[in-house]
Amino acid sequence: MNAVEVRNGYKFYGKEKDPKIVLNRLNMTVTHGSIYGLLGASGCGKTTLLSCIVGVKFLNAGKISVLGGTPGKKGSGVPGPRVGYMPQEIALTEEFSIKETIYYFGRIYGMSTERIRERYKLLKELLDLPPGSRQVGHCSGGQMRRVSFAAAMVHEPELLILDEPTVGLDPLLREKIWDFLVETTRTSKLAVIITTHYIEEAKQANCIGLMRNGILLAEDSPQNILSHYEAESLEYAFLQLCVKHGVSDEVHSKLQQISTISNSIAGDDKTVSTNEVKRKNSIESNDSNTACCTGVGDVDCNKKNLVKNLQITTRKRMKALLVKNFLQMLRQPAGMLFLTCFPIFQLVCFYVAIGGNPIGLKLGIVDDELGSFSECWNSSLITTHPYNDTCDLNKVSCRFISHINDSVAIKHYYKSFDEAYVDAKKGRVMGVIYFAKNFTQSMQDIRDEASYAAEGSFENAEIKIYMDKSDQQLTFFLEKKLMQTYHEFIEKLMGDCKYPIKAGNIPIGFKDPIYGSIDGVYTDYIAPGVVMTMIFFLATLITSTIFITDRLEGIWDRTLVAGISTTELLLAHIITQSSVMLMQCVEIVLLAAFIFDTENHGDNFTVILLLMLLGFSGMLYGLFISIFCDSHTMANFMATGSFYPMIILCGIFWPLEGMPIYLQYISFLLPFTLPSIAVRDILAKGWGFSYMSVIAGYSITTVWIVVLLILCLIGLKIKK
Amino acid sequence: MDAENQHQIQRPKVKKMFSWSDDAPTIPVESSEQTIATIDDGGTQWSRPQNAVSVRHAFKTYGPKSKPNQVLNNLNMTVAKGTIYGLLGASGCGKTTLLSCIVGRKRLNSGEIFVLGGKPGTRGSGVPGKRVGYMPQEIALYAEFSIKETMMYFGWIFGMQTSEIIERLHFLLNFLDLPSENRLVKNLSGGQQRRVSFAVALMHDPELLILDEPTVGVDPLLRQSIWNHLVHITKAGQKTVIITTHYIEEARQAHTIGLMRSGRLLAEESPQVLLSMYRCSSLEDVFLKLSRKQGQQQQAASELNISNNISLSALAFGNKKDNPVYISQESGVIGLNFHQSKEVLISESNNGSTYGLNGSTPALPAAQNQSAIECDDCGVDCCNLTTRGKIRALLQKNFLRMWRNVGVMLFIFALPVMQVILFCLAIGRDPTGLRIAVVNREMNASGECKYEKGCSFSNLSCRYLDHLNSSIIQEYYDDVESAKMAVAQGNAWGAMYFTENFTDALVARIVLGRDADDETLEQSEIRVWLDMSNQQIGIILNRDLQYSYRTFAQGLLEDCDNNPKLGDVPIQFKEPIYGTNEPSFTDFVAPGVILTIVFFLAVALTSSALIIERTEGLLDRSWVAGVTPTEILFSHVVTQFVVMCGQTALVLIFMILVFGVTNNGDIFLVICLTILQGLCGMCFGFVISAICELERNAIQLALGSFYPTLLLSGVIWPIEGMPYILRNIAVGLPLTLATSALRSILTRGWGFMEFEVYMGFVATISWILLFLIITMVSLKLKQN
Repeated sequence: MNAVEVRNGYKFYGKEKDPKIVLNRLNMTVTHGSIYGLLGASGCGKTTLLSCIVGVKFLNAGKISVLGGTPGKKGSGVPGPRVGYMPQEIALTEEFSIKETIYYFGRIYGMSTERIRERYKLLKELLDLPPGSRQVGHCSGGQMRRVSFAAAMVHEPELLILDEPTVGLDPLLREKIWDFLVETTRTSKLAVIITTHYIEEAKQANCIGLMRNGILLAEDSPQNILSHYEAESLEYAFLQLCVKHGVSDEVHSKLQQISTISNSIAGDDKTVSTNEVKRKNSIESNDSNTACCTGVGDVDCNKKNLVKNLQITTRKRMKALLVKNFLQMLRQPAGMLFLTCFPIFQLVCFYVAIGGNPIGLKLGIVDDELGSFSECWNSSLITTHPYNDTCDLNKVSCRFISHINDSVAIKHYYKSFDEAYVDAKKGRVMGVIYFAKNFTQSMQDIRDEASYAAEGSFENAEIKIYMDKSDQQLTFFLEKKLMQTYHEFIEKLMGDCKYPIKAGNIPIGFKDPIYGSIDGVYTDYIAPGVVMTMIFFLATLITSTIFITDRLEGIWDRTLVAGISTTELLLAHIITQSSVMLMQCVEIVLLAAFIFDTENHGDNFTVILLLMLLGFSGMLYGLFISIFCDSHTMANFMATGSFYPMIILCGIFWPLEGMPIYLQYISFLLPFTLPSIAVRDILAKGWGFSYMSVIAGYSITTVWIVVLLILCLIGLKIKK
Repeated sequence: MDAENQHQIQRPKVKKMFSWSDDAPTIPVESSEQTIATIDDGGTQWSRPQNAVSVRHAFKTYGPKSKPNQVLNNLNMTVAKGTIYGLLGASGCGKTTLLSCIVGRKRLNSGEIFVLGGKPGTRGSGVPGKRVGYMPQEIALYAEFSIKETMMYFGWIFGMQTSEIIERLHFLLNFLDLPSENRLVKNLSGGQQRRVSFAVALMHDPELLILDEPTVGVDPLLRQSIWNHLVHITKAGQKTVIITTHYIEEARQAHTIGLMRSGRLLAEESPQVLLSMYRCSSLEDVFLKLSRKQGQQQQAASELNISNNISLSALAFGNKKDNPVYISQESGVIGLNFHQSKEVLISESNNGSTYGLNGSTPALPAAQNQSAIECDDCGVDCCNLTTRGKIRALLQKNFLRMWRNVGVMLFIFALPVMQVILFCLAIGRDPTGLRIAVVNREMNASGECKYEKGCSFSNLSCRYLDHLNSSIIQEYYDDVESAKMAVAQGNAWGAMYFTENFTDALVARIVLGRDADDETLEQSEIRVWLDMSNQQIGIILNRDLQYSYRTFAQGLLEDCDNNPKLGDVPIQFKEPIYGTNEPSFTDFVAPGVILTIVFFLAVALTSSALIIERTEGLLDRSWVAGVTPTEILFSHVVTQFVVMCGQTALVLIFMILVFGVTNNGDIFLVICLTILQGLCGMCFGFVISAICELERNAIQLALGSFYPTLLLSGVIWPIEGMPYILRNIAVGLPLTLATSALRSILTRGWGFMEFEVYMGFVATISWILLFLIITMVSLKLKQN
């Protein structure tokens, strides 16, 4: 029984028509209790072969059996606790301490804490690891490699796969690792596959496979190879083989050559197996045939145990993954700061900067009615002299001027209109208010004579306002305020004259609004949208960064080989992110409600739930991005590229009703258009689940979540 | 056998292309004479003419002073001219740091380095520059380039003529068996990429070739040919090669081996001597032995055992403090000295092919001298020429990278257009289709609302409703309660109520004026209940209802031959000084949006540019080739400037021409300000990428700064609405003043002389300068 058998392994990348062949009808045999050195230059297909053995990738054709099962199948335990894998990269979470790293992998493999502790102690001594509390990120390169090695060994796997474990290691350490491997394989059934492109160090292996361009040039014990090629060093032997094999990169075009070589390999094979058998006899004292039979039985038992194990350990593995995610987050102070403070910072910026009433605007005032403005400040000035049925007015413009208080604008008094107008032109004042010379008389004339008043009176009784309307928001504000001032002014005047108060106004009465207030603030209007976009994109950003980092650093692969399914990995991330999201939501809601006094007429729970859901879909969106983008830059472009259009289209800056109708439909489909309407309705109108808009908000979010989730799963499948 | 044939065919060519051969007049050759000349210029050190590189008492630490991380620990190293020096050691032992120092990328904390007779990094030393060739550990090539473009790029950087580069390129393609020159680097196999990388280092035929692990993961055949080549070029004694590897065995072919471990050289010998000295069969074992010794030594309280070779550094360290350098050096190197001199002997006799490397006799010295002089000349005016070549190379690089990257291209040009289109379509138009629930008691039962035109006082409510903006949809309800209910349910934005005798009361109100009684006033009032939960819509409705009353009243009065102003409120907003009577939200936000689009696109593009170059090792490579940080920045600025012009044109064309955003000002000023803002964004991107180590941090910073800037810059809300303190802060942000300047130009039509406009320019330019200074400073800091 062999630990690993690959028969006719064939794998290509790219299109079927124009395949880039990586494994070309490759055969490989690894026996139990031996070290197999897989040698070859980078790019020759080593890593692909290992990925296939470990069950992370699949062959296009051919058969692989690992420890008696087909990798990737249920119950085979591969990927899973039966193999240990040490990738080429360090592939460790830098934020972990050494002890936590070992425990993390132990938990993933479903080991009991007791057992992990034992193994950890053993490995620590064996590999001379630094103190357990040191963070991996603070270790030296050699130490990190040793930790990585220990992580692959915690669970005493039956098959250990080491992808270039000795690259750049100190000679002492390298010797130690090899000694350890030789020792363990001699005393146990452990099979080790070790790759390296440095050929010489593989001398200590029991069997060597020389790989080039997707095929094994030779598979034999080092001694045999040396003698076969009459070479002093393996290096030289490999060189000879390569020369024989030909320089060309395009292997598939040279099938002839391959067949000749594989013939020669077939010849070698016999020697290998006999050799191995001899070795085995000395170790296990039963010959290879019986070993094979018992091996099969073993596998069956193992399978049952494994299935049991898997069920029990899922919780433990979940725990491991969750602990990992949280620690990873907590140990990054900058990241934590970003997570917790950034929402607050943004929200504060938003509330403080947006929607406040403009203050300190300047208005020029020209009053031809008065000799000088000091007349107005004369306290003895009486502007109304009511008699029985009539009322004489005197310098009413003063009344109006005094009604304009500083919260509206700061008044600048000018002697002449031209002077004021020039200043307005230069942008020193926002506008000019002008009262004609006989303003009061004209007013009185119109009041008394109504439609029979002199033509000039109408002209003169007007308060003329010349505005700089280049800034729409300021214009709106000033216009509104001046109209209000006028209303106050005329009502007061009518009151003082003992006339009906309403007589001076146009007959439109704005009653108390049904929702909101007449003096509604811009902040309340855009707050829901802003909060939502913030939550959504924070989630997107963080998730995509974490995932891409994980993948780039090889942590993802390593975890997969440890038998964690993609779904579990996703679930763990989703849980972690959700809790972060919850924190952020609560933070934002508290801040908005208590510090900035955003009124909520509805149910807090409904709001928070919707925000959470939205954050969740933002997270999935980040996941989606990270699946389809290979680099941070690409992900960045994707996120930014979608961010701006969504903000513009979601109706937080301007009501949807102002868009062309087809654009409205598109924008309804976006993830925060309907939800922000829903939140606005909940906050301002106090609506609940029985209302259409709230339901629509919830359902569009749910639809997005489902769609994104499906896309993510499909994407992951395709990528595999 | 095939290979051998090929080799034989190649050999004459090889000879032709490399400077050691006698008949290669076109290729500039540098000889020792020439180096002497340069050194005399520098005038600092001229003690070891035969050494290409000598390092004395090198100390280098990373990290804080209180807890230093010793990387080089009193290291001495001597590389003789015309030899291959194999620097061996595990990763993390300081190899790469040592090389960076030799190449002038980093500086020692203390100690001296002489490279080709000069101090690296000083003027005239040619290091970093064209006298060294450097092949980093990573591939460090631009994936989007073709082989030819790659070679062109580096050739230009080295100041070579284009024809020269082409010639060289063809030779190297043949020599290294590379595929067609038009293949993109990213489509090459790993081995081919390495060969291209090697070719780049050989490109300009440097005197000193530094190869950082060139053979990692390389096919045995290729490895063999690389070594063959190295042996070949050093044969004439003019070229020196330093090669690092952690595969010790392959260094057997080197002339000298330096075994390095934790910041020191354990030994510096020829492989043969080492093997015989330690009686080992392989270098591996020698290193192992030495390592063990060092390990023991460290355990023994690091006290020195002078008789041992290894302790030379320790001893020198002990002496170092006060004694002049030479003494400590001599006393420290007792063990090695002997071997060293021997080694020098070997290397000198090397010219006479002691090593039996198929020795063709060295080139005619006379010929060499001649060409050397030629080169000396060209070296002088190279200083002027190269800058141009370098800049050209750098620019081509930047553009190609962008051009070959579809995603980036889309991001650069499609995104701004899309944003502008979406913005103009989605923001600022008057909302249409707003529903209002109307309860009109004046209407007859049939539900029709008829009125007569002209001076007729019947069904005035209907006449008013007719005046209502067409964008408002009226829906009739029977009673106030149900109308209000409709609003409460969200079916309408407001409810309106007219009383039964609205017409009569209104007429009475107008006629009686001040004498009207309360009931008349009450009855004549149109009552409105709005849903103000959507502030923008509420305000618009409010305004529309009032305006339509005015037009209604004025129309009626005019029809009845009365002065229309009688029905109006005596407050008149006259023709505005700037802007239109109905200012639009679009016009208000447009300046801010234009600037933010250009600004943040630039940030996004540049923030990761430097980081990517750094992590892929490209920055190092260019650096060693003698490109200064300033040049790199400059090339990015130029590239970005061109991109910016394109973006600005697109954005402005769409904004102003297609969507008709008001522009009353000078379009030239608008363009200038926009481009300047883009440059400002780019510089901000530089700051980010100079400060951040990791790409993801840069991205977080770039994206994180977006929202606050947008909120605080007065783009969507005037800064006059902010609290006083915040307003002062906001004014300091890069976008604020520029936005208000652009707004003034667009709507007020102001020229450059107005305070607000030129403040916008001044602020932008000073931000650009500030960002640039920060970038330069942090790049400088990083280099040391």
